Parts: sequence; C-alpha cells; structure tokens
Amino acid sequence: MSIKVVRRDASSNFLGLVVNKTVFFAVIAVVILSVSLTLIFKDQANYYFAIGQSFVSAHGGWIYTLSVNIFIVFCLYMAFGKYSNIRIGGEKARPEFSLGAWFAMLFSAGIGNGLVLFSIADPVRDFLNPPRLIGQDPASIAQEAINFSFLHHGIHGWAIYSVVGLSLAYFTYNRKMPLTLRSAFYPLLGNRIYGWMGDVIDIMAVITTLFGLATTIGFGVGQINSGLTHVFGIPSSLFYQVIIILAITAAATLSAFSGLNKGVKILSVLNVRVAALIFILVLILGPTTFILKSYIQNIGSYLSHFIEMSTWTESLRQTEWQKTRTIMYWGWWISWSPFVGTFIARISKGRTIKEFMLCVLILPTLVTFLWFSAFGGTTMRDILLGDTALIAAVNDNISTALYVFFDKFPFAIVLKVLGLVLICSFITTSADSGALVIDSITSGGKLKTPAFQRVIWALATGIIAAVLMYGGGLNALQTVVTISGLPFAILLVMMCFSLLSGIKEDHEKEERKKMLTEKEQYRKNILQLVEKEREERSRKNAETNTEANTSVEPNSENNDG
Amino acid sequence: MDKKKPLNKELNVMVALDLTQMDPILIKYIEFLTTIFSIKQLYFVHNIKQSVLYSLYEDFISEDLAIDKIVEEELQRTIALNYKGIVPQQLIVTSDNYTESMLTDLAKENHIDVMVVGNKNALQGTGALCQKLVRMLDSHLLLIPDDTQHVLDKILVPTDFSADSAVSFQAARRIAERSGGEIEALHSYSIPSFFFPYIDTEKAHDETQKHLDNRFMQFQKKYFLPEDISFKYVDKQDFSVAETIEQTAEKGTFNMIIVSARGANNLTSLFIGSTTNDLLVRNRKMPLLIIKKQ
Repeated sequence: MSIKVVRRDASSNFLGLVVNKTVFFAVIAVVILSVSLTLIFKDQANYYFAIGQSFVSAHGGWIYTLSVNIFIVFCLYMAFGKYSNIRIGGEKARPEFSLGAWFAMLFSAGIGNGLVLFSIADPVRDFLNPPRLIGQDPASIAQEAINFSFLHHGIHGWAIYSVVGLSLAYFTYNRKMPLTLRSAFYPLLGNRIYGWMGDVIDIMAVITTLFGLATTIGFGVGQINSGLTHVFGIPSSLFYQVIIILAITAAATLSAFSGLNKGVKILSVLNVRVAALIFILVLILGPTTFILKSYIQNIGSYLSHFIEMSTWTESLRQTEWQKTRTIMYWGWWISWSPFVGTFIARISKGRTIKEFMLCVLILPTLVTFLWFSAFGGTTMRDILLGDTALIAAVNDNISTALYVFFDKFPFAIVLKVLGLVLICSFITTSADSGALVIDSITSGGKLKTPAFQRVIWALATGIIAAVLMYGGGLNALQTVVTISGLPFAILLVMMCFSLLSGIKEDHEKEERKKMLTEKEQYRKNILQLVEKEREERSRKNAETNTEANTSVEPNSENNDG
Repeated sequence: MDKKKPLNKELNVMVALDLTQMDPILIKYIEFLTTIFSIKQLYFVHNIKQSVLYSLYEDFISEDLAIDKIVEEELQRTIALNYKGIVPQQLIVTSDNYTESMLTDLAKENHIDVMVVGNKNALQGTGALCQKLVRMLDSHLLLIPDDTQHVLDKILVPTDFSADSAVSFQAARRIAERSGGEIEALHSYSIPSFFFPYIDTEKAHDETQKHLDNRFMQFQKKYFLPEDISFKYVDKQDFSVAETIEQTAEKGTFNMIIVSARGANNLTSLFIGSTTNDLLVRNRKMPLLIIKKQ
C-alpha cells in the first residue's frame, strides 16, 4: 500500500500575522523567559554566564574548531569542484541585484560593525595578551596579533555564512522550498522537516539569531556612545546606551517596514560607501606605503600560519586565551549565520556557485584584511614605535579605540563623525535585515509578510539587547553567543552533508535525464530505420511474390490450352 | 603532443553524425566549409550506442536484421544526398557505449584537426556530448547550430587580452585569409559606478574606451595580429560576458564566434574557461569554434 505525503503549509493567519504558530510562539516564549530571568536574577546572572561560557569553551571548543575548518574545505570544494557552474535558481535564472549592490548588501549584513570595532581593538588586545609568543620579540608578537585577528575575522567566518547562504539559496530557488533553515535539511530528514524536527531547527535558528544580533547591537551601542562622548561630550552610561538602542531600533523598524528593496538596500549602499570613504581617507592621510606593504606581508604571514592557527586548540597549554577569543568569535559568527545566511540566500538568485563563493567567501575576506591592515596594522606600527595611547584606550574601553585612532589624523573630527555614521548605519542594517530574516523564518519561509510583522522582530531584538546589557553587560552577550552557537555548529556540519547530498542527487538526476533523453531519441531513430528496413523487405518480398505469380500464370494458361 | 596545424593548411576534419535531422544540416555546412578550408580528408563518423539497443537485439537477430549495416546504408544515403563536395570522404561506423571516448580515440588515430558536431536547439539536443568532447579532444571543436547559414564573412572573436584569446585571433586570421571575411574583436567591460557614485559615468566610459583602444593596440603588437581587425567594446552592464557575446554576435549578424578553450594537457583540459563553457551551454544560434591551444 502506498502512503501519500502531503506537505502542509507551515504558515497560517493569526490576528492578521502570517506565522508558523509553533515557531512563532516558542520563540516569543523563550524571549520573554530569558528577558524576565535576566531582569529578576540580575545579580546572579553574571556568575552563571561566566560558568556557562567556561563549560562550553572547555568541552565544546574543539567542536567549533573542527567545524569551521570543515566549512572551509566544503566551500572550496563547492567553489572549484564539479558543481561550481550550477546556477542558483536554475540555468536560466537572472540575478535580482547588480553585482555591486549584491556585494554591498551581503558584506554589510555579514560584517556588521565588527570591522570598525575590532580592527583596532583585536590586534591591540592580542599584542598585550599574546596567545603563544609570550616574552618574544615584540614585532613577532605584533605580527601574530594581526594573524589572529585575520583568523577571527577572515575566511572561517565567511565560510560559515557561505554554508548557510548557499544551502538556503539552493533549496529555496532550485528546489522551490520555503526560505527557512529547515529546508536545508530535506535530503537528510526528508518530510520530517515539516514536523517537529523542522520546528526545532527553525526555533533554534531564530533564537540564535536574536541573541547574535543583540550581541552586535550591544557592542555597537557601546561604540556609538563612546563616539558621542568623544565628539559631542555626551556621557557614556547605561542610560544613554538604552536610548541609543531605542533610536537604532526605531531606525531599523522603519527600514524593515519599507522592505528589502528600499530601506535595507539604501542602508547597505550607504555602509559600503561610507566605509570606502573612511578607508580612502585613512589610506591617503595615513602611512599609505606602510598600509599597502603590510597588506601583502600580513596576507603572506596569515597564509603561512593558516593551518597551524586554524587547528590550534590550546591543548598543550593550560591557558584560557581561546575561551574569550577564538571560541567566542566562532560562536558569534555561527550565531549570526542563520540570519546572514538567510539574508544572503534571499538576494543571491541567479548567481553560480562559483560566483557565490568568490563573492561571499573570498572577496569579503580580502576586503576585511585590507581594512584590518590599515587600522590594526597602523596601530601595531605606532605601538612598536612607542605610542601607547591606543593601549590605554583599549585597556580602558575597547569602544573608544577607533576615535583615539582618528585623533592622530588631520581632520580628525570629520573622520570621527564619519566613523559614528558608519557604526550607526552598520548596526541599523544588521537590525533591520535581521528582522526581515527572523520574520521570514517564523512565517514558515514566506518572502512577503505584513509590514508590521517585521516591526515586532525589530523591536524584540532591541529589547533583548537592552535587557542583556542591563543584566550582565558585554560579558553576558558574549557568553550567550558562545553557548547558543555550539548546537548550531553541529547543525551546520549536518547542513554541509545535506547540501552536498541534495546537489549530488539533483545533478545525477539531471545527468540521467539528459542521458535518457539522448538514449530515447537515439533508440527512436534506430527503430525508425529498422521499420524502414522492414517495409523495404516486405516490399521486396511482395515484389518477388508478384513476379513468381506472374511467371506461374502463363504456364497454367498453356496447360489449359 | 604534436604542434597544432594552422587552419589555413591542409586539414583532416571529422564530422560526428547522429542519425537525426541534424545530419543533413551538418553535411551541407561541411560541404560549404570545403570551399573555404583546404580539407585533405573528411571523415563522417557515427557511433552505435550498443547499451541503448541491448533490449532490441533479440528481435533484430530473430528477424536477421544487421543494425550496423542498416545504419551504414542510411548514413551513406544521407551523405550521398547532401554532400556534393570534391574532398574525399570516408564513413566510419563504430559501436561503443561511450561516444565521446570513441570520437576522441578516432580523432587521435586519424590526426583530426577539427571535429564538427551539431549543436541542436530546435532539434532538442542536450548538449551533453559537446560538454564532454571539449574537455577530452585534442583537436579544435566546431559546433554547428541547426539554423546556420552558409556564409563566413564576419567572424567575432571575444578577447580578454590574454595569450589564450590571441590564439583565437590567429585561428580567425587563417580562416579570414581563406574566406575573405572580416574579423571583429570584442571586449566586454563594466564600470564599477556602484562603488563610485560621484564619478561622471560619461567621462568614465570615454576614459575606459581610450584605455581599451590602447590596450588592444598593445595586444595586436604583442601577438603580431593584423591591423585590419576592428575592435569593439561593449558595456556589459548586468549581463554575463557570454550573454554579451551572444547579443553582440546576433545584432552584428556575425557568422561565427571563435573562442579558445584553455590548454589541452591532461590537467588543464578538465578546466575550460568559464566564458567558453557558458557559450557552449547557452549559444545555439551561431557556429562556435573552440580553439584548443597546443
């Protein structure tokens, strides 16, 4: 007996909202619970956050390290292997956005304000607290600090986004499935993705996204506050930070309300242009030759230490350096991956897998390295020359690093204001595109939903960020991403296998179809020839018979005669 | 590996027939080519795909039908009907499960310079054989669409100013020498106005075109290309390079596109250029000659 499986439409109307009720209410419940618990147990929250982070880093750190390396191998195979020419959306699909707009949007969504915040702070922190070369030559320590900042903000992170982005894009546009995380697991789970298993995947994705975004907003808000202090003398305090969160949330709400083709695109374009302007100013006004020289040297040094750093797990040292650096970053990238991946998938129709990988994996990495070489590299050079202003700034508050860095430049005030605009724009882009993605997942993969539904998620992100800042500050935010990212890392490894198996299956099916069409055509042609031959034979036989008959008839006449 | 013979010398050409309506089109086009190229020997070849016919063999045997003989006679008839050229021709009928391997082996064995295959559109081909052949063959590959015309007076050669594309120009020059046709070089460019919104696009186009003109002149000098090649540049906007080439070829009423596949050694033959690959997949409207570099 055969069983007919019917795919149910996961979304339904509820009070005018188009939502998958299970996912929507589960997420709302988790948000309310986490926010309430943090508010109620504010004093103990820090303690438990610290225990949680230590536990996950100590026992799950190796899973992160292994996973991110698997992602790179996977992405390179997809980019240069036999599936590289497959086009997202089918052979005839055309890109929805121009190459420039596409790159601007994916880069803005993916990098957030990490580029601005950590390009100076990270090398300085790792120079002051080096992971491995304690007591050695300061120049070597500085180089290793830059190498590690390349590791934390480079190809590994973009490989995580690429895995999610490509998987979702493929299953959404090539297999016509809903744009939700569960779709990427179809080859592994089959129709179970439409049941509770799929709901769990989507709930995990949304929660991870919400906390990942909240962390970014938390960091960004601190930096905006510091900028306002530097430029306008506004005090740096929790009160002002909450106000900034509200302002960002309001801007993100407006942008999310207007949709992908308006607000999000305009802000993404603004990000890239302002970032390009700041970079060009720093390049011209700063040590131009040094920046270009160090870019080459840094990439070389990073590549030569690549495997060693990528697989380093601190296993022969009893230090805990990785806990707050590498592991936290992997958790953060992973916690951002459902959101950035979904967003990238949404805008990547019409690109080939090779194009996708070059623009999502390689190009952003090279741009990031250039930025880090200009900001972090110049900072390292100044520190080695004896300038300790940035060491003091980072020790005091990492959010101030960018503004202290600009102090040395002519027209510092212009650069500081531009920096402030860039951070605000980056954070707002993250918050609004995050709201769009969460909305898409909780609506069961719908690409169009009521505008006010997106507003709910823009507000929710802002509230979580504000409450976590109030409950435990940046440590709480970092701990949350480290913990929430781990189960997702395992899901992402499964996603690689799922995507590979899906693409392989489709590719083989396509090849078989082509082969069958050709075989069928060939068989038909041969059968036509054979039929012709048969007709020819029967015609010849008929002729022979007629000849035989006509040669017999005169004889019988004679006999009769 | 043997050095590739220039296309204005005496060539051995092999034409792959497949028993479809494409065969007469191919044969007639080859007859036209014999008036342009100096062809020493022409081979028509067909491979009987045994694996497709396994289930039918029992019937054939019981009826005493020799399928290879039937196929051979049919091809002889089609050739006799459509080929009136003076270049000696020979029909080869083989029987193998893998047509692409068989064609590759035959091409090697007979020192073939150009392999000609049909590139079906209206006749619903899948293009799978061409994709495999371009990677496996040592010889040049000429793909003929089903509505091709018997003219060769305008040849389009896309260029990225690389050594590979210079090889295509050499081939185009040899053909044009014989056909008396003209060659037009095409380069597609784009201006990244998205990231630099404040630059004057008009001015940027002018500057780019000046730069491209200079570049093409240097390219001509470096690879000793004839001076009468006209050079055209197209802003590809949001189209892919292959789409731009296809559109330009159609608009300009060209009769052939010549591109270069990358090297043909064991390693690089697996990777043909992405534009060439795109053209191979997309273009079903114009003869496409894919030049294999030595």
